[in-house]
Amino acid sequence: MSDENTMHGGGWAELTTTALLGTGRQPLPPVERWPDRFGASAREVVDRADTGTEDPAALLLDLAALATVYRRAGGPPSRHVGPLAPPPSRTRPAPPTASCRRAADLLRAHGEDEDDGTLDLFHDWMLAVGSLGYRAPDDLLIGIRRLARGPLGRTAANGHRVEDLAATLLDERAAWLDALDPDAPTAPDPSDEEHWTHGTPTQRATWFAALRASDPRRAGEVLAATWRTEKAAHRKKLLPLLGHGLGPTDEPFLERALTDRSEEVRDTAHDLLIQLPGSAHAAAIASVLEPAVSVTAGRKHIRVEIDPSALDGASPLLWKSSQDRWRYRGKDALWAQFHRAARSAPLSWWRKMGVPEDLSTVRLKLTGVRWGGAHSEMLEIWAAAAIREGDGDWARALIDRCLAHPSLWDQLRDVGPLLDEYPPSRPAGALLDVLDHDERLRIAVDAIDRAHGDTAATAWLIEDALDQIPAPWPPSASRAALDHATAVIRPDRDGYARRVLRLLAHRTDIDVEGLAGSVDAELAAMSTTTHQGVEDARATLATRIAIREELS
Amino acid sequence: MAPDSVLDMDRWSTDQVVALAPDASSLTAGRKLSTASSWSGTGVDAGRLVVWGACRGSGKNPYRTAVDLSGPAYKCSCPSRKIPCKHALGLLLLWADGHVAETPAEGFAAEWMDGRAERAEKTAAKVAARASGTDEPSAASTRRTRARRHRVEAGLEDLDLWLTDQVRTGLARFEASGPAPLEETAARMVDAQAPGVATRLRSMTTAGEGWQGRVLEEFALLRLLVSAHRRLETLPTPLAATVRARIGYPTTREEVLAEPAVRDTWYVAALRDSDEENLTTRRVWLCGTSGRIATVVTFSAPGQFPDASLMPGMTIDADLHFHPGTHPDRAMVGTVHAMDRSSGALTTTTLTTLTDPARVVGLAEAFDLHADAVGADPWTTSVPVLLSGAGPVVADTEWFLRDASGHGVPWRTSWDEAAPGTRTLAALAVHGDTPMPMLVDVGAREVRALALLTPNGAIKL
Repeated sequence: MSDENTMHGGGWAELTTTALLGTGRQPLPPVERWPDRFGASAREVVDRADTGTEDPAALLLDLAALATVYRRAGGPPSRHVGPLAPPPSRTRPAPPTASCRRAADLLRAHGEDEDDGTLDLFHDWMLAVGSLGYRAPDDLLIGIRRLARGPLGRTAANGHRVEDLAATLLDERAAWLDALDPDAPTAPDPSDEEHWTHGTPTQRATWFAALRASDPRRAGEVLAATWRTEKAAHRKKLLPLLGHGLGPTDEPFLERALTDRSEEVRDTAHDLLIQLPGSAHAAAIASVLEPAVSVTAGRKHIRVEIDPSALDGASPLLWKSSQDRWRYRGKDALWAQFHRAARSAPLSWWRKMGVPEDLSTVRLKLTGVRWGGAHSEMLEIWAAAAIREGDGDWARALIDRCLAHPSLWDQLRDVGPLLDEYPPSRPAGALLDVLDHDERLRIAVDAIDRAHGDTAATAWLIEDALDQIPAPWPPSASRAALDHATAVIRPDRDGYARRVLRLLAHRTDIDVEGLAGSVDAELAAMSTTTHQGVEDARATLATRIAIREELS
Repeated sequence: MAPDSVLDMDRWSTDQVVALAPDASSLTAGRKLSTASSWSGTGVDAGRLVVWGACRGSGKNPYRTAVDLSGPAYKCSCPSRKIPCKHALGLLLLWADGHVAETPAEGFAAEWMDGRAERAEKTAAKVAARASGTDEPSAASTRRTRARRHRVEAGLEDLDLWLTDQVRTGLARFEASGPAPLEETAARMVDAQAPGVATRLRSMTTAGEGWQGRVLEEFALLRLLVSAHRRLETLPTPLAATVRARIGYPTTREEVLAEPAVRDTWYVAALRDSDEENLTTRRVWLCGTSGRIATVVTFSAPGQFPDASLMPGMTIDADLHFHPGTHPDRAMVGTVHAMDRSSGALTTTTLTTLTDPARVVGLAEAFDLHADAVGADPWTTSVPVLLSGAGPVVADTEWFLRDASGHGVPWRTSWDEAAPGTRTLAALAVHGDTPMPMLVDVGAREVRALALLTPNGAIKL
């Protein structure tokens, strides 16, 4: 560990240079200043050269061997370094030892065998431990920190986001590690405009997103100021970032972007503006639609008449983008124009026109529309608006309407994704997102009651509604899921039954006196033969109870 | 089963079986198989200490499973790489519950036990012969040994010429040629039965910052090996053994087992696999309570499962036999007296002893140990040390291992891809800025961490 060692410097460098050029061209370097006994041995080697019988190349290798051993024995070069900043004192307790050991076992077992449910149980462990105010165990801190960083948006079997479960457990020490980590992703400082004026496209986008998060208004101004000089590729990348923190102050700028040369930019501007129901753009769309829609209230029904031929086909708001052309391939062109505009109209306009939320009273009449799916696409138009505006009244009304007429779900399935998160087969998911937990539970219970054992039409609704109530469930949710599982535990519905059982096992509130016990008893009685779904559910429930007991 | 049967006394408890499980999922699977309905043709032979049975699996033929209770050692026809597999665990659990009847071993279980006994006898006889010096080599084997010696000699003379040629014409040629000439020479060394030399040549690189210095160092050490081999007979015995080992003369199992046994309680602290020339090399580091550290190296061909008898976290009370040589941390496991697989009493005591701050060495001492090792065996690349009083720090985005005096040396971890990152942070998450005992490989250029020892077990670094 010597800092000053001639073999680290001059002598060795000379040997290397000679070897690099070759002893055929270079004389052996002098060894007079080599230190200690190595120096003495080296001088003996060089003396052999004077006899003239030895190959200088062999002598050089012998000298190098001496030097190598000397250097290696000296160990690595050391330098003076300061200590780490001391870690902050910790305010939260670590979980009890038994609990830590279980968590480590769950994680380790998961590493060996994918998809055997141990990761789900680890998520349950994080929920239980986090809700009691414990911090992550030290030896799992890095693993949990990794979960907190993503991939973002994954939902655990207990209904919580994995990153949220993990983040709850991170304490002062995790922040200390972040500060030490040379590879930690650091958010750019929004006050430093250097990133914007001189950064790479990615750096600029990252900085812009950070600014938008901290000062949305300022971000809007910054983008508007450079907009004219941005390349189309950059405009496409930056404009969607306005979706975060969108507000009325963005409207003038977005109006400008509606006339952009790039079709993709125009589409993005349109999508953003219709998220502002009070915007002039939304009002303009409504006024284009108005000639094609008439609503008349009768004694029992409200008649909604749609006549796409009454649209002013020249209106620029009916332009079809390439995306739309794909969506409406082979369909009725007039209806397509109407559909695109109607999908963007605010709910307030439909209300003003006299369309009631209670769709059961509505009778639709479509004039001159040849496209057979148009009826269910009207539902989709209202669903899209309800989801976009987060309007619970409309969402509830749409779901109730479909519950009353389960065949409507099947039709909704064909009409394309309402939101990216949900596949076309699960249109209810996005609507349920708008509602609160109580409402979802009511819908689930309602759907289960109506299902009478044959649930094909509303299965997705029930599963989505249950899935969107995170643990711990109110006892009535466990009851409903149990009833439902009993009804669907049939060979032809096995996959579905297992998913319902899995939700039941991970979300039943084990802190409610006697609930877990009675659920387990009913599970045991549910199937006369061994059913893997039932077995797994009982094992999960038992493990969750064990996890809970280790914490008390 | 009669309550006064010998078997009932010797029957294991469920806890004992559980402790053998390699991981939680194997245990879960084993438990599922521990029902009498999964098994047929089960039996236990108290005299021969073997349990066996046939387990209905997904395939056409049932898996045949047997456990030698004296080891324990396992035999199963299933393809699982876990040791013991779920079938062996299920069978043992079934037996522990008292559902396996006593009967003399026959069929495949008897054959397997016979084979084991025969192999054990042969090895024991060879070891005994070797230890007592009555191991007269046959004329044929003497001839073979002499022939090999001549081949190696010729090969090394060839290598010496090649080395001096390189230095005479200049190492700069490698800039144009790349490592191809090294590879060619390595192949010649394989033909000359000097695989140790071939491996050294193959592990050299002719690229990257400072490659010239590293190539010169390796060439110089190879020439030193050639010179040492020329005077093998005049070298002290341990050094001669080192030279032979570095060149790649084979060391037989019997030779090593004939070395004196070092009995200790050994904690398995780290395991690392590396793929070298179509072989998987598995290195396992064991820390003894005496302060001695051993490395057990095993090889497996492609398609073979690496040896899993020593897994991190285990503690064994065993005789270790160290390879002959000047700095022998490489060892072989002889007799195992007791084994603890899951942080039981044995492991907890061992960890307490190992992590006792009074016993472990500091950074300066670690480099003294390294210097001693290099002095005794110039071809040493690194020395495993149980280190304390130092911890990783970051300075200018680089990691150093720093002791209380403020000296820092370059720090690497063994399992991080490039720069030390996640693993180092994992260590810091556990010990904050308080240094904790860790097993490291001290090399000439850096310290490479292997495992952090905590009272709860080792964390790989």
